[in-house]
Amino acid sequence: MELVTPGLGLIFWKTVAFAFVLIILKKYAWKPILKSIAEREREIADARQKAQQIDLELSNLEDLKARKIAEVELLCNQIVAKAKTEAQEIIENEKIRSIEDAAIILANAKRSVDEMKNAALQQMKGQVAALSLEMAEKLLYEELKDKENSNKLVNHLLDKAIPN
Amino acid sequence: MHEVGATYKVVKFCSVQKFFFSALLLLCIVAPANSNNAPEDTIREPFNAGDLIIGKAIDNFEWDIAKVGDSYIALPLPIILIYDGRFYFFLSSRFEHGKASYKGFGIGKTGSQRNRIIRVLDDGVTPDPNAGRLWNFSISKAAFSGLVSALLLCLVFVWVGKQYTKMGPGGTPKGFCALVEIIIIFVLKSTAFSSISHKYVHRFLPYLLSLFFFIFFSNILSLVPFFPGGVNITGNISVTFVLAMFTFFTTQFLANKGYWKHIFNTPGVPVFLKFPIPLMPIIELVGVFIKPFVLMIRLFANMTAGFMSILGFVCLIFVLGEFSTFAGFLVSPLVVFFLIFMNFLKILVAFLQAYVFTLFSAMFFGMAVPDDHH
Repeated sequence: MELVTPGLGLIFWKTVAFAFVLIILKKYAWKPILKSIAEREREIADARQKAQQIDLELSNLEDLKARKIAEVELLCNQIVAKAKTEAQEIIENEKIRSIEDAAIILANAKRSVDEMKNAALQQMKGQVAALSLEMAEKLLYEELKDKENSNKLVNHLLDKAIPN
Repeated sequence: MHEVGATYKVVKFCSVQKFFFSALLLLCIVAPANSNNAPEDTIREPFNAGDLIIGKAIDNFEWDIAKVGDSYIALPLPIILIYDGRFYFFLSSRFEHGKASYKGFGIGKTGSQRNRIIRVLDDGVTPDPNAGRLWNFSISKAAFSGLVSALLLCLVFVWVGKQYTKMGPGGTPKGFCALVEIIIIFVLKSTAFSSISHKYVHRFLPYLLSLFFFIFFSNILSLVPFFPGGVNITGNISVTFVLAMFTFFTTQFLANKGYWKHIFNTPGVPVFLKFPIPLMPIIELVGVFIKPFVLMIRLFANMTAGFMSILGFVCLIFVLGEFSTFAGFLVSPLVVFFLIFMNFLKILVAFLQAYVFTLFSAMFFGMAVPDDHH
C-alpha cells in the first residue's frame, strides 16, 4: 500500500522544489531562450520574405532582359536588312552609271576618231592634189618632149595614183 | 525478530545490487573462493525479492548506499516532524537503520505503518495507540534526490540561458545549447503549439518546458545506479501528484470563459442531458479531476514498472543463487544483457513519459483556453 500512498513531507518539498525550479528557469532560462528562438524565427521569416521579393524582382528583370534582347535583335535585323537593300541599290546605280559613262566615253572616242580620220583624209586629199599637180607638171614637161611616151606615162601615172 | 532479520537481508542484498554494475567481474572471481572458505554456519533467511523490490521502489528516510560487512554506508537525511505542536529536527541516523527509536519516534514495521515514522511506546517498537496527528516534513530519499535533480536542472538551464543572453537575440546556438534547442523546439512544436491556440500559448511555455525537463532529468537520474541517482523519483506517487497538481491548478487559474462554459453548459449537447438532471455538467466536472489523476497515475505506474523490472532482473541472480551458487553465476551474464537492454529501454521511456506528461498537460491547457470563435 505504501507504494500508492502519497507522503505529506515529500509532497511539500517537491512542491517547494518545483515552484523554485519554475520561477528560476522562467526568469533565467526560458525567457532568453524563447526570446532568442522567437527572434531567430522572425529573422528567418523576414529573410525568406526578402528572398522571395528578390526572386520576384529577379524574374522581372529576367523578363525585361529577354524583352530587351528581343527588341535589340529585331532592330539589328532591320538595320542589316536595310543596309543590304541600300547596298544593292548603290551597286545597281553604280552599274547603270558606269555603263552610261562608258557609252559617253565611247561616243566621244568615236567622234574624235572620226574627226581625226576626216582631218587625215582632208590632209591626204590636199597632198594627193598637190602630188597630182606636181605629176601633171612633170607629165606636161615629158609630153612636151615625147608625145607618145608622155601620153603613155600620163595614163600610167594616173592609173596608179588614182585607182578609181 | 523475524521482521528485523528480513530487513537485514533486504539491506544486504540492496548493497550487492548497488555495487552490481561496477563489481560484477570482481565478484565472479572472489565470491566462489569466499563461499569455500566461510562455512555456512549462519542462519540464512530466504531471499525475498518482492520485499527488496518494493523496498527500493518506495521512499525511505535514509539513503542506504552500501553495506560492507556489518557496517552501513548510508547518508543520513534530515527528519523534520511536527507533533503535538512541537517541532522536531534530527538526522535519520538516530533511528540506526530502523532498529532504534528517538524521542519517542520510530519507524513502523507492519501493515499500513510500514516504513513510516510513527509514535512508539517506551519499548521503542510498539506503536503508540493514543498517538495524535504526526506531521512529517522529513527530507526523504526521493525528496533529496528530487532536490538534486532540481538543482542540476537549474544549473544546466541557467547556464544555457546565460549562453543565449550572451549571444543576443537571434543568435545561433552552438554545442550543447544547440542540442537543448532541438529538444525545446521539438517539445514545444509537438505539444504546446499543436494543442493550445496561438493567442494564449506563450503564457504556458515556461511551465511546459520546466515540466518536461524536470521529469526528464528525474527519470534519467533514477537510472544512474549510484549516489545521487538510483532513486525512484518520478515513480513515486507523491512526486507525480505534485506535478499533476501544478498542471491542475495552472489549468483552473488560467482558464478562460469558454472553458467554464464548456463544463457547465456544454455546447452542441441536447438540453435533456443538462436539465433537469445535469448529467453533462457532472460528467465534465468529474473529468476536470480525472485529468490530473490520470497524469499522476500514468507517470507513476510507468516509471515504477520500469524501475521494478530492472530490479527484478537483478534479483533473478540472487533468487537462483538461493538454489545454487553456480546457477546464480551462470544466469548473471544473461541478466546483465537484459539489464543493458532494459536501461536503453528506460532511457527511451524517460524521454517518452516526460513528453507524454507535457503533451497531456498542453492538451488540458488547450481545452482551458479555447479560441473565442470556438
